Amino acid sequence: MKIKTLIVAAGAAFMLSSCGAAVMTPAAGYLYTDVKAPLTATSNSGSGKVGSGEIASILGIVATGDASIESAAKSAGITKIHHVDYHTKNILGVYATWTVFVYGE
Amino acid sequence: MANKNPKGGPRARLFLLPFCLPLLLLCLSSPQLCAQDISDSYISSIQPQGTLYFIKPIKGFENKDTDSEFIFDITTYSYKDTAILNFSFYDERVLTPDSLVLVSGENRLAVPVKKLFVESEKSVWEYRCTTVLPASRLASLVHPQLPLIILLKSDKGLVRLTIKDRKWEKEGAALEKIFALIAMNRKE
Repeated sequence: MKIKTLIVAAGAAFMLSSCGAAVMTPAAGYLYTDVKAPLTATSNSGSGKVGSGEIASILGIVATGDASIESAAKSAGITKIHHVDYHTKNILGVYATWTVFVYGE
Repeated sequence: MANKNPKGGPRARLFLLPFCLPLLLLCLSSPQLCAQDISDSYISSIQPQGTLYFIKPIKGFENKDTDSEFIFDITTYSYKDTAILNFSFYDERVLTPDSLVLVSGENRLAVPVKKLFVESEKSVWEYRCTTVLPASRLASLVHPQLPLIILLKSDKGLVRLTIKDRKWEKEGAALEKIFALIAMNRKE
């Protein structure tokens, strides 16, 4: 009976993480995700300015924010994009964030 | 015969485990509990001349009288004494930001600002502006025990923006550590 209960608890935790807040990532952890990865790069030279944008999701029920490349570039006055990276964080599908960083001039 | 499985026994506790675990993880990942871990507060990028540091947006500065909010981020470098401070100022009024004064105790730093764009967000206007200031002067204004005060001058007057002491203790400590890191990496 105890094993059955443990299996039910583990299953509930698994379902909560996979059905909850989810964000794009090249490698995800069901319990915890904290990943930085590239998004894109261009042939433009110069990356002396940085702009960022973030979206957040709670339990996969409510998600808000603006992490578009356009918005992040605009926030730093970047007109020539050099490259774009992102950082994603997910805590058991309860709270997830996705932040984009745009480098350019 | 006694009930072997009373209500609120081990079964109930195990059932609650998947709900307690996320809360525990949330608490453990809270910055307050992680002894000044600044890795989440900034990013760095290698440049031909040295390293660029981007300090992620800092929130919390507000003026309750005018219902204004101020969020800023900083870009600075290991190879030059320059910091770019980009900020978003949210206010219900139509105004033209003119300059910024950063106050820390007796120390003040006044800089002109340049408007990047203005957007409407719900019932307020978002004024996105940029300014360039000496990084070393900016670093000298950061003291975790002395909350930074920001004065925004515009054609509509002066807006005084303050942050809660406890929030500044955390943000100020992280900023101080980041500036120390940048100073250590600065090329001689």
